[in-house]
Amino acid sequence: MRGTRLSAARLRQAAVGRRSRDEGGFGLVELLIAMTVLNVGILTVFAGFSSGYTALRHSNSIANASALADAQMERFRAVKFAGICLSTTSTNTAYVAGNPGGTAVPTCATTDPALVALRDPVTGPDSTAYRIDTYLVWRCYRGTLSTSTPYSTAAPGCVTSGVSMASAVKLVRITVREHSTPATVYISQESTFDASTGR
Amino acid sequence: MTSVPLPMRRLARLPVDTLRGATTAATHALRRARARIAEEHGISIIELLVTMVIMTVIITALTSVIVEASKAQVRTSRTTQAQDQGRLALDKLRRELHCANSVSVVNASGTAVSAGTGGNQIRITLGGYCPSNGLTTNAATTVYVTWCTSASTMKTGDYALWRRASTSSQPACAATGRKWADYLTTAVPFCLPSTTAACGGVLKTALSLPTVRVTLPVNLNGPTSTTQAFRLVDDIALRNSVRV
Repeated sequence: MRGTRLSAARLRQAAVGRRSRDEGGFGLVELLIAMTVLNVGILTVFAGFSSGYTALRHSNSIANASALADAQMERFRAVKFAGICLSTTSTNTAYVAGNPGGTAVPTCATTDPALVALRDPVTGPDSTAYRIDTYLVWRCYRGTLSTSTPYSTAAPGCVTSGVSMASAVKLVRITVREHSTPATVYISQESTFDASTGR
Repeated sequence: MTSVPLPMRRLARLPVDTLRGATTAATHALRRARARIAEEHGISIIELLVTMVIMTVIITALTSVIVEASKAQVRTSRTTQAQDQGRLALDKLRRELHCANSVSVVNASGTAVSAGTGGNQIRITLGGYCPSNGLTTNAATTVYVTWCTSASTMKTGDYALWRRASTSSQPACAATGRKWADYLTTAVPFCLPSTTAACGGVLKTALSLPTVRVTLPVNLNGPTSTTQAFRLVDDIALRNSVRV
């Protein structure tokens, strides 16, 4: 029995020792790991919020820019075919990268002050600034553009191997860009105007 | 908390006397079991209270954040919806005015206004061939459309834009039919500019088609507010008219 009691006491001592060693709680490393993991989670959620807000703002800008583009196109609809031209009064030029290409329609002394190659800044419906680039070129849907007789630079026609096909139409492209960074295009729209509908 | 297997627990509850005379190994097992049970502290009331206080503070803070976010979301959603409605109304008006064969801007008492003066309604006559008339596909039928503003039921001081259509006669202005836009801060969105009267915009240029200036200012905070202002303006060409 003696031997047994001794071994029991040793056992109890061992148990106490184990308990005091077990009471570790959280170590600093564990705490740091937990905080890092939690941080990653929280930052992910906030990144989601942030990108959602950016997307919302961008789509709003596009909607406002298209209202501006519609209004600019409406100016061309109101004038005569001969009046569909960009004003000589403005020396500002449109952003080159957005040009649809082709022969430009000659400038003229249009009476509408908005018919210029570049309007910048233009206040949008949301009271922020945009820039409107207007490109105006001749287009042929059949044949190639010709300015030789009976046609002229002011009224070119479309010919295929010397045969007249039609008179050229005017292609208006309106591009609304961000005021501060013109490389950012919000909306671009095009319309053609025919001489027979705008006499 | 250390989980003790069930036989151990039962063993721990037994009085030591009952095990007298049992094997040494059994006594050891009993002692070990008791020691393990003694380790099971659980949570003290103080700890529980402190935890609850901290949790309450955190949850209260979080709740107010969530409530504010939800309010902001509702406000943004209503603003966006009102602005979208304005755009759609302008788009519909554009299509109708392009196809119209007669347009007049009329004031609240029903008389046509002179050029340069705003009116609360616009009367449009569409041929049955106009795709936007919404009433007939018979090209010979004439559709009379009236767009007009009346006091908004959503916000005091604001106006709503209504559209009424009929094949028999020009409908009178009334808050019936379809509401196309709301929260407008002007009662007179329509104006016909001339070469001398600009309607607050540009003068009609010589030899251009007549235009209608449509102004749709949308603001959920009422007409006097300057925040969240949204203002759609367009000079829509009357394409079937003559150049003067």
